[in-house]
Amino acid sequence: MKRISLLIVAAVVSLSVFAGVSGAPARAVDSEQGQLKPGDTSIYNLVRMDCLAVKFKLSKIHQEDGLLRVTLGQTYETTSSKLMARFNARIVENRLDGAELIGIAADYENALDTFRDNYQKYEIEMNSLMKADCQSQRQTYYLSIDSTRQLRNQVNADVQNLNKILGEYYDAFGEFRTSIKDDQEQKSNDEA
Amino acid sequence: MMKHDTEIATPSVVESVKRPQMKPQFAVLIAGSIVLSMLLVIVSMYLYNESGAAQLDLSRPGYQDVRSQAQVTERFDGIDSAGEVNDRTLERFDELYSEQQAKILKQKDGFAPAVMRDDALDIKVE
Repeated sequence: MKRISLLIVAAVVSLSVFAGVSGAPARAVDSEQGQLKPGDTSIYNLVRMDCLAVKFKLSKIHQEDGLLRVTLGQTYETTSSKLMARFNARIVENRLDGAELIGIAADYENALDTFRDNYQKYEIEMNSLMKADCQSQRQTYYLSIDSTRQLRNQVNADVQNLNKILGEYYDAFGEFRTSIKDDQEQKSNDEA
Repeated sequence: MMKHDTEIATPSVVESVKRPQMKPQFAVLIAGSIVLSMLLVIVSMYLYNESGAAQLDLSRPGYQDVRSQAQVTERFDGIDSAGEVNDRTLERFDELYSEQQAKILKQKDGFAPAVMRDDALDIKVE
């Protein structure tokens, strides 16, 4: 019985160690993977960088992007859920013609989903970049910086797109407001 | 006439009385609880990473310097989803929407590409 208990405890400890290792989000860069092969070296003959300084700057960018994601994301979400969605619901409840507003709000939601997904991809990549080996794999590290840069540019494009859609919604709201006023004037003229 | 079960005090019986026996069920219970909690931790960590919550978590290591800048924002109630669409509603919506839009546009240069360019990172490629 004692042996069985010891075996069970040993199995549990091994499982815990395995779970801890596999659950860790950080992945160590395999020292064999990613190093440019002799045929690829024509791409970059020489990459000069101070690894510590580059990593420091990247960590600053990472921190500020994290903060921006939270603050900007909050505002995007509240605009969608507490303004657009509620106003559109009111339009529908009052049986008014707000098809354009509803369509733009749907585009906004899709754009917001895209922003969230792309930011997640960028952040995961940036995390890996900060933990990767720069000293011994300089060229590979530079390629990783480049791919992270592309992902970040995509996030920037998503932000610009969201801002553009916000502007479109506001313009459509202006037209809707004008049409409501015209309808009200028409009604009061008819009554007169 | 009552029969009494008599047990002969053999050495093995004496031994088992002296030594407290650990029931295997107790060990299985402990081990099972540990395994179950480990599984739940794995599932919750997976959800934490996959859902995108990890990207919004400023309590993670690496965000110490900006944590204090994430201020608690005032509660934003927006507008009600039920009610009339009249001049007052439209005015109120216009005011709130413009306010939110202005907040967003203050950070319109967010994620600007310039900060990650080679010259900004002091990288020279030949």
